[in-house]
Amino acid sequence: MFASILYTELFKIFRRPRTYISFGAIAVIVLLVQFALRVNGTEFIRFFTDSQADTFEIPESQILNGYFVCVAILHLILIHVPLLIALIAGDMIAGEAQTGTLRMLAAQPASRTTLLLAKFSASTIYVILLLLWMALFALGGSLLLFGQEDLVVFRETDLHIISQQDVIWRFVAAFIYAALALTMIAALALLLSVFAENALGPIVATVCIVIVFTILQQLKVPVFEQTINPWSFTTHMLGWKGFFYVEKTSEGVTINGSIENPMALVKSGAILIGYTVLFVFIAERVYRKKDILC
Amino acid sequence: MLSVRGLTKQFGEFTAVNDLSFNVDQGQVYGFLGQNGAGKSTTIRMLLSLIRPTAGEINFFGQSLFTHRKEILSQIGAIVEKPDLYKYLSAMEHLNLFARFGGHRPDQKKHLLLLEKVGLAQRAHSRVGTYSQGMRQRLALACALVNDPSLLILDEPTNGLDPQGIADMRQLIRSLCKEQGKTVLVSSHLLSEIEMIADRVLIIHKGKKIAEESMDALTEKASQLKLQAVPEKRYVLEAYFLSLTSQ
Repeated sequence: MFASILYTELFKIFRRPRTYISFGAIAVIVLLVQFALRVNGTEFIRFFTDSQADTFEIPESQILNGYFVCVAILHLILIHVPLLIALIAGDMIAGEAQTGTLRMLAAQPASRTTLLLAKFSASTIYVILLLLWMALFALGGSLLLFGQEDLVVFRETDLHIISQQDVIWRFVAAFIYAALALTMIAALALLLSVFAENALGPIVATVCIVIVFTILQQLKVPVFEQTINPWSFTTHMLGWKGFFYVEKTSEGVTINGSIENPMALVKSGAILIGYTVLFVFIAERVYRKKDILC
Repeated sequence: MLSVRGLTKQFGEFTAVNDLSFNVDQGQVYGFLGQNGAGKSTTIRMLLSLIRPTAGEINFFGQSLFTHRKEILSQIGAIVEKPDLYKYLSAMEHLNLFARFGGHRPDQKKHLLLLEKVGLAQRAHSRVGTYSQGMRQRLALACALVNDPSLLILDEPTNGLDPQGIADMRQLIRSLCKEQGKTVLVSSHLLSEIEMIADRVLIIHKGKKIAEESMDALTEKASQLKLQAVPEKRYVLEAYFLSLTSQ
């Protein structure tokens, strides 16, 4: 029964024209960034290298490669992808309530728990496909356009050089981590969707919550740094960057296959999973007992 | 087939359905009447487990809806109020979708026959967004029938239909009952329609049952009342309904 309902939910998602807006938006944004870096990439890199002029020895032409462009794209757009996720996941229950199809589904033999879990699973598959699409354009496209070299990752006071032989698994891990983070956003949107009878409400509310917590995180004031930010999901959503921070020997040589702070990544991943489970659990409890009046 | 006992639903201080009891026998067309806001749709939603009753029991096929929801709903097809379908899917895709929801494999031949029965075969692959309200109503009925239910619960099934559509729907409901032995619980504000198809009628007013009669008994009672408002014999239900609800 679950597989049948999951199939129908996926069928509905991918028969709806709105779904393809997200795929189109990602393709356009990635292509625009690639075009901009192709034309003005040297100036873009100089922005980073100027602050580290004393320690920097690699030519800019080598820094601007496919891996570097992909990391730059992920920095630029991963923070905005939650909006695209909310467009679909926020619509899952509230959109059907608004159009009146929810009562037809809820009058079917499948339990409400099965229906909700199928909708959440369909949202998760949508997240994964969206990220695969992003990977195809951001990583595949950038490698085609800019070629392969060692990856240089800039940090505030430091830079990490990752050998090109050591970089692909890091992208795979980063995309898997991003899938975890965006699945949590899908769970949040689904939870808000359960309370609403209009699709716009949960979509806007999800985006607002992400914006508010992102601002709190960027303020970097002690009161939030010590209380909210360590547990805020927006803090941990950015954990994917950790896969590009490598350990160095005492001589400053990067160690292939290493991660600077693996425990922080594990903790962030666990917090994201925790939020996802919590949001889906609450959504199930509420939806199971909800009177469907619309 | 269906037994309802003491069914009550309160929304805060407001009692939408108050201590409602009735039985629907197998093979009947059971008419469910009431003014707007009388509690018809709330009752139907409780029968389909869309709303939790505040009190009361609902038993289908001798089993409680609260403990055997899945088994019971797999034998029920329903239209609840104005059916809003997926505008971006075709009629055939709707039937496939609801077949899967009922735990069945989509059967294109069977679905095409069903669409022929409701007069939509020619538009089987057109998007529902291009359908008229009447066509959507017909498709909703096809969706309700796709898993071959033994009980149909139809809330205002003739809404949005033209006179020919209403006549077709009436004919279809009668044939489902007479030829296929299905039981139909149908609510409508079109009293003359209920009068033409129902074997038994339940009338509720402000959430409470005010009458439950077979059509024959009701006709007899109405004639005894010597109702002034009866312009023709076939409007006897309308006259009886108005006399009850205006008291």
